[in-house]
Amino acid sequence: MTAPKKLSRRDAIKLLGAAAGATVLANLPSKWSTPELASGVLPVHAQTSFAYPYAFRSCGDFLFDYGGIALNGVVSWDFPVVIAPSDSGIELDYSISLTIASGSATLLSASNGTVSTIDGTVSIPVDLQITGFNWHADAGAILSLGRVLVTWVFRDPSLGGGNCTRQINYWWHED
Amino acid sequence: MNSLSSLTLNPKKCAGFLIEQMDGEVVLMHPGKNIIIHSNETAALIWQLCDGSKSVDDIIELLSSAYPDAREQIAKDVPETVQLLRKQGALDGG
Repeated sequence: MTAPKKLSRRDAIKLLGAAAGATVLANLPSKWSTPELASGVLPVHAQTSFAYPYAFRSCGDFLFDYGGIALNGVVSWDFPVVIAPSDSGIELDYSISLTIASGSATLLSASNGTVSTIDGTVSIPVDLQITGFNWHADAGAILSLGRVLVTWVFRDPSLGGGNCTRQINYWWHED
Repeated sequence: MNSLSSLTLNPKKCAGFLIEQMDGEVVLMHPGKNIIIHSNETAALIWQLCDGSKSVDDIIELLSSAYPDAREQIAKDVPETVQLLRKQGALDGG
């Protein structure tokens, strides 16, 4: 990652206009205002235009800040998924990817599989082995960091479209 | 005792989002994930800048160059907004 470069205001506005997209943000805000965000969930009954009998309602909150304790270098997370309507027996395929930025880690769980919902929900455990430590004398030294991403899709594509993903960013350090 | 904590990677927009602007408000929608996010123009601008190639610091610097009077506010708003967008599922970790 390169250090941010100083830009003239004119050049910065040109870049912003290109990044924002002329079709959506036709006029950049003339002055800065506090960003505002409010999220919601599209109600199932409003999805009639998509013509699927099922939809993903949730696959867990994004864990941007994860804190925990690993036992013998192994950490475990649960990755739940919820569909609507909340029927049982709906098969979902999942795939797990591990991206390592530094250090080393091994996914102990299978990297993909199929599970069935019970009352509209199902969860898979993901176990990660953090390996290859180089212990440092300095407390807080970063030893390993990476990302675990779980992606869910309907096994039968006629039942539901799109996918649901959940991601955990982690780093491993010595206290 | 060892512990895990968070890290920051270049933020990147999640694929599959539709964006609509109406009456000064911007709406981000992901039909497959059943997500709808109402935002104002500055929050949507931050989301648009998250293309995976820029760090949070890069985005802060770019916006601060365009809005120099709000540099201090931008330095606070951008990381908070990126974290909220990640939490709401609109951004990958990068």
